[in-house]
Amino acid sequence: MLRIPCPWCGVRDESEFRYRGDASRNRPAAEAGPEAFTAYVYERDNPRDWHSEWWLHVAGCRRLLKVVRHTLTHEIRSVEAASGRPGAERAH
Amino acid sequence: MAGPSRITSGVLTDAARPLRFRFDGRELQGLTGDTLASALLANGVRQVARSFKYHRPRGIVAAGAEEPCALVDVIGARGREPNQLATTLPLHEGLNAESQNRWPTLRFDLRAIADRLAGFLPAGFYYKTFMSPGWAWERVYEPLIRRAAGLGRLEAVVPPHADPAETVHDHADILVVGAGACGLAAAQRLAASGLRVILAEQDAVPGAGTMLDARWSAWRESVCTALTRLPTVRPLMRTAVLGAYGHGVFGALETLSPEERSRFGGLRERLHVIRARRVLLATGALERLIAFPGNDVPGVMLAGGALAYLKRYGVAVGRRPALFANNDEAYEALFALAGAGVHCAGVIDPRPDSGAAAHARALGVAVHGAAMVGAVQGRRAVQAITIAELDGQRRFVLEADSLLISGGHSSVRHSNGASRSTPSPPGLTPRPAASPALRAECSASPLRPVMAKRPRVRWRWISAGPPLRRRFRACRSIPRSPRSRPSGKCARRARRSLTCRTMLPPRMYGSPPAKATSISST
Repeated sequence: MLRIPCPWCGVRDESEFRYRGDASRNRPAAEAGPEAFTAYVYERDNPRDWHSEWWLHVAGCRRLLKVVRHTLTHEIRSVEAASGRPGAERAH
Repeated sequence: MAGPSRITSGVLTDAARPLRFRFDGRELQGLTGDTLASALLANGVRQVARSFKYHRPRGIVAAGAEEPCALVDVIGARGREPNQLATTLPLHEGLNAESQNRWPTLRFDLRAIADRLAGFLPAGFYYKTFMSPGWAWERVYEPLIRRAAGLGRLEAVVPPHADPAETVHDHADILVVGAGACGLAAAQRLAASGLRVILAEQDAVPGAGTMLDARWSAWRESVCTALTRLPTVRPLMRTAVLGAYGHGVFGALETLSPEERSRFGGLRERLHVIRARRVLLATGALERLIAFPGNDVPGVMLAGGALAYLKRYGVAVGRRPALFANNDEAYEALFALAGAGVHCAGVIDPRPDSGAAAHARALGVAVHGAAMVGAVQGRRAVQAITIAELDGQRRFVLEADSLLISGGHSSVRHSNGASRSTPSPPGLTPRPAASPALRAECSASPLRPVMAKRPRVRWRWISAGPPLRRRFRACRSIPRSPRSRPSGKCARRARRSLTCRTMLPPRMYGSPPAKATSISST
C-alpha cells in the first residue's frame, strides 16, 4: 500500500487519494495539430524509473498533488502542491 | 503428572491444574498450558492423522506452527471446525477433537486401500482414467472423488455470525517480528529509548529458544518484566505477521486465547493492520527435514520439536528414541532427554565424527558415524531403524520407538521476500555502525555455539535510517546475558559466521537510486 505524505494533511493511505495521471505531460498549443493531441491524450510511457504523477487527495484536503514515485520500489521522493508551495496556501 | 510420557515439569505447563479432553472419543488428561499435540504425546498417542491421498498413518512432526501433519477437527458448541493445527491449539477443559480423513476409525481406515493401489494411481488422478463409460462420471467417479478429496469436512449449515473477527489499525515507530532472544532484547532497548514498539510473536508466550535452556530463564523473566513496565512497547502474542505491503504497512493475524475469546464476546481472530516506520525481523530459523524411506511414520519427528516438547511441556516423545542428524545443534535434544532419564537408542550421523558425537559417546550413547538411515520399520509407529553405512559395507538394524531428525536450520525469510529486501549474504563484512553490545547478545544465543555451527537466532534491520541507529546505539546499558562466551575453535567460527550474517545495510523496499526525502511541509 502506498502511503503518501500530503503537505497539508500528513502521511495518509493510498485509499484516500485518487490517481489523476501522468504529470510529465503538457497540453500542446491549440494550433499544434491532431498528431500532437493524439500523443497528448493517448500515448504514455511505462518507465521503470522515477515517475511524476498527479494524485488528488479526495478524502482529505481535496488538493491536487504532484508526486514523484519510483515505479519499481514505490518509493516516494517528493510531494508538492500543483499550485506551488504549501506555505503560501496556509495563510488563509 | 498427566499422561504416562510426562516425565518432568515443563516451563509452560502447570502440574497442579489438570484438564480433561477427548480425542476420537477417548477421554484423556492434559495440563493447563498444554497444546493439544503435547497433551496427546503425553498420553502416548502417536498416530493423530491420515495422509491426504494414500491414507497413511501420520504423527506429530514439529512443535510449532510449522507442523505439516497434525490437523484435527474441533467440535465445539457452535459446530465442527476442520483443519485445526494440534501443535498450536491450546488445550482447555472439555476440548473435543477428532482426527480427520479416515473412515470408520483412525486406527482402521478402509480408505487406506489407496496405499495398496499406489502403483496404479499416478501423481494426482489422471483425468482420462475416469472418461469411460460416460454415464459413470456423474454417478460413480465424481461422488467418490469428492468424498476422497480434502482433509477436513465443512459443516453443512453455519450459524450466522458464528465466530466474529475484527480488524484493528495499529501504529508504531518500529515493528519487531519474533519474540525470541533477539526480538526481546531489541524490543526492550528500542522501547527504553522512547520509541513506540510493537512486538509480534506467533507463539502463545514470548521467549522461543530461550525456553529450551534453563540458564536463560532468569534473563527471559527479567526482560519480560521490564517489557510489561515499559509503556511504549505493545507485545502481541499469538500474532503471526502475514505480509509486508510496502511503505511500512504490515498485516498480522492475532488468534485469541479461549479466555480472551469469552471476554470479547466470542471474538475469535483479530487482523492487525500495522503501520510502522521501521521493521526488525527476528524470525529465527526452522529445522530442515531429511528425506529417506519411511520418514512419514508416526514417531519420526524433528529433533528441535522433541527438545521443545521436553522443555516446554515436560513430555518425552519416546522411551527409546534414536537421532539422525547432520549437525551438532540437534544433539541438544538427545542431551536434554538423557538428562531427563530417557536413554537414547543411538545416533546416526553422516559425518565421520564431531564434537557433539564425542560428547554423546561420553554419555554412553552409541554413535554411528558416516552412516545414514536406510529405512524405518513399522507402520503405525516406529519399531526399528535400518542403518546403512555410507561406504555401503554394512547395514544393520537398531531398535527404537521414535526417530528424531535434523537436517540443519534454514532462517525464516518469508517476510524479507514480502518486503523485497534481501537478507545479508554470508561473508559480508560486519558494519562498524552496529552496536557491539547487541552483537554480543546475539552471539550468546540459547542454542549453544559450543555445538552450533549455524546460529539459530538471527536478526537484521530492514530499513534502519541514521537517526534510529543513533538512538539505538545510545542505549547500550542493558545488562549482558548471563552466560559467558564460549571458547574453542568451533565457537569462534560460529561467532564469526554470526557477526558476518547479522548486519544488513539499510535498504528501503528494494534499492531505490536515491535516498527518500520528506516533504517540506512544516
